[in-house]
Amino acid sequence: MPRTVNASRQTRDLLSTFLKDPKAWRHGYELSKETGLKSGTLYPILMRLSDQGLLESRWRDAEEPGRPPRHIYRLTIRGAAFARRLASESDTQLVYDMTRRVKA
Amino acid sequence: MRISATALPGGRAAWGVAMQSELGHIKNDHEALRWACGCLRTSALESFRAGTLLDFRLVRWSIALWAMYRATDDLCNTCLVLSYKFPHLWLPPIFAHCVHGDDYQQLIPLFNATAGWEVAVCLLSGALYLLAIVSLLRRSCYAAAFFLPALALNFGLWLYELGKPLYAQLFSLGDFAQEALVYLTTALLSWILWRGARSPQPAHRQSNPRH
Repeated sequence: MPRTVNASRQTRDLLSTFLKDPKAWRHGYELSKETGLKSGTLYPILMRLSDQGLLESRWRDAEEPGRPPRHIYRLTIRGAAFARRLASESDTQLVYDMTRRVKA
Repeated sequence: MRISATALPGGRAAWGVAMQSELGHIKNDHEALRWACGCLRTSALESFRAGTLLDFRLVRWSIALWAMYRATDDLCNTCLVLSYKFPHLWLPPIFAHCVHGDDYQQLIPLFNATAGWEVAVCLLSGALYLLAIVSLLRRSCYAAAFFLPALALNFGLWLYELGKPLYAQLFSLGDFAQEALVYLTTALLSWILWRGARSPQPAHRQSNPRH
C-alpha cells in the first residue's frame, strides 16, 4: 500500500515548483536545482507522489547526442489540485500566524 | 550508481534507471558525485522501507557476525562463571586460567553474586543468537524470532545487573557507555531483521521449502 503523502516542507517546495507551470515536464536535476533538494531527498518524494497517483512520468530523448534519455515528471490533474489545496492551506496558516504575531 | 540502482527493491527498478540516466547529464564532477551519493541514500532508504536489506549478503553476514560476537560474549561469560563456581567440572582450561591470578580476580565478587538463573539466561540467549545465525545464513524468516528474544534476555539481564551495587564498583561509566552502545546496535539490527521478516517474500523465495 503506498504511503500517505505528507505535507513536509520539502514536499511543499517541490509541489509549488511544479505549480509554477503545471503542464511543463521537468527532469530530476532541474527540480533539484529549483527546489534546492538533494537527490537523496528529491527522489523519495517523487516516488511517493508517483505511488499516490499525483505525479506522472515518462522518458524523453536527450537533447545532446550521446547522452542517455531523461526521466521527466509533471503533476497529474489530481496532483495539481492537491498542490493548489496545500498551497492555499499554507497561505491561510501564514495569515493566521502573522495575525497572531500582530496581536501579541 | 550501479550499486544504488541494483540496491533498490524490485518495484523501484525504473527509478534506479531514471537516477542513473540523470547522472549522465550532470557535467560538473563534484555535483555528479553528490548526485550519486544522494541516489545511494535513496536506494538504502527504499530498501529499508521495503524490508529488503536482508536480500544483500553483506547485510546478512554483518548481522550474523554481530550475533556471533554476542553469542561468544554470552557463552564465554557463562563458562567463566561456571568454571569459577564448579572448578571440578572439566571446562576449557583457558577459563580456569582467566579466573586465577589476573584481572579477572576483580570479577570474583560478581561471580559469587551471580545466581544460577542468571547463568541459565545467559546460556539461553547465547544459544538463541547461534540459532539466529543459522537461520540468517539459511535466509530463513525465523532469524528475527531467535534474535529478538536473545536481545530481550540479554538486555533484561544487563538491566538487572545494573541494579547490583557491585556493578558500579567494578565497572566505570565508560564500560556502561560501551555496553549501552552494544545494545543500541543490537536493537537496530534486530529492527532490520524484524522488518525483513514482516516484508512480503518475493515469489522465488516463497516456493523454497526452507522458508
